[in-house]
Amino acid sequence: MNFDYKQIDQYIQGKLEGEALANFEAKLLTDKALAEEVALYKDVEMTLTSAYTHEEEDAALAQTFGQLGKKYFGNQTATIQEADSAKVKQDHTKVVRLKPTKERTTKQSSGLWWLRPAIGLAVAALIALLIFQPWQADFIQPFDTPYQLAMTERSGSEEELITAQKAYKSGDYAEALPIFEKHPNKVEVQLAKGNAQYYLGNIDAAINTFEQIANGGSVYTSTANWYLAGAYLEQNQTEKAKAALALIPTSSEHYEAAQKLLRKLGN
Amino acid sequence: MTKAPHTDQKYIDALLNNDASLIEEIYQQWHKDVLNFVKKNNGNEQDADDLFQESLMAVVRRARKGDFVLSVPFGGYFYTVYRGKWLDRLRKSGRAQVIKEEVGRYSEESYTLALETIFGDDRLKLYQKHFEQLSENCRQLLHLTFEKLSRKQIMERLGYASENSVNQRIHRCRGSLQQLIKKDPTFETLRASYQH
Repeated sequence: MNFDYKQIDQYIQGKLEGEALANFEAKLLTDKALAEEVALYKDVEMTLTSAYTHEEEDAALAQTFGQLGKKYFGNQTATIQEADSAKVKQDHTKVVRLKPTKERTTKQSSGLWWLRPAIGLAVAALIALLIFQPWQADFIQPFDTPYQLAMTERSGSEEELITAQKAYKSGDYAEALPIFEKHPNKVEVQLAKGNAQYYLGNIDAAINTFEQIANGGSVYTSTANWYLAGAYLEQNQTEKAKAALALIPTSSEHYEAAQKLLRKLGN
Repeated sequence: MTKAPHTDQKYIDALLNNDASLIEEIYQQWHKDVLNFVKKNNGNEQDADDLFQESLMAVVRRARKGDFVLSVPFGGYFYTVYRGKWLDRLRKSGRAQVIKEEVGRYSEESYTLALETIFGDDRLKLYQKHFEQLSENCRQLLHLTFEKLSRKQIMERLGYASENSVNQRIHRCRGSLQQLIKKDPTFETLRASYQH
């Protein structure tokens, strides 16, 4: 299923207005799948925003919990009911030897496992910003330019396709996509379709589309491999991306860029 | 229909403000209950400590959502949260469950609140798990959106050519994330918990 994440994003951000807003709201009432997608989008937004805007507070809380945990759960005696809290503190120093301290610390850190992704993300983001900033933008940026579909005007049944091409060129991928779907035998159109899916955030679908073209043995094979690599990189599938890039021959217009990217990716 | 806060609201506020002495009261009052519960149900001291922390953290996250007012005793609410979480843990690890049903011990409201708390926490873990699977570029970018930076600020911070590029990338990344989440086997059960 293809969703227009651009429109969903605009709606959630409150940037849809007037007729566009009214149309979208009307669609939400009748299109159950869309309504569910929007609900998920909203929940992901709220949940992750809350988590990441409170990262520091959560770290401070984790410290507090860690210290209190050691104080109140440090005792290894079998029947904790018998000891009052003062005795528990005393026993802690005598009894702690029974449980290997190594196990204690690894378990302790497992208690904060929920925090690790948050810390990991904060650290990763910081490193990325400070060191890899220009590099990161270059990594995926080559794929910011969509495939240049260039079909010429023809009469009759091709009119719809020309309209779709116009929509595609102006970034209206959601409008172009259903029309592109009607032309599975036109490889050029399928390339544009893959791009449209990619830009709409439907990476799985884009990968499928590009793989089909890449395996199709047409003149568009190397171009398909280029965009295929981009889609794989979106999903962090670096090895598959490299494999696709490596298949691009010297005769291709994408050869230089592919080689450059392969060097950046390592190996 | 707003309810008056219970006097135990002070514990919620303490958690939200990292008030160590009041949080210690929570530990003092309920650490034994948690330990006994866990030990009776296939766990040890470490498990009890972890469960205590995770459950408090789940409460914090729920409490941060605007409409939260604790109108039930903290003890009952907290018990239902850690009990539910422990049950889930046992189920996932295939360990036997010996938890006896304590019928009618706590109010319906307590259960509802506890379920919301547990599900909210589960959804966060689900989303974070798949967030980690995104490309480094996506993670970096989306992290900034979740920190509430404007698209313009993100463009400047990361050196993108235009706001349009930023938006395009964001849509792609969010789309990827959403697809990954939907493919998770736990998604169907959690889906019902946020649809209002």
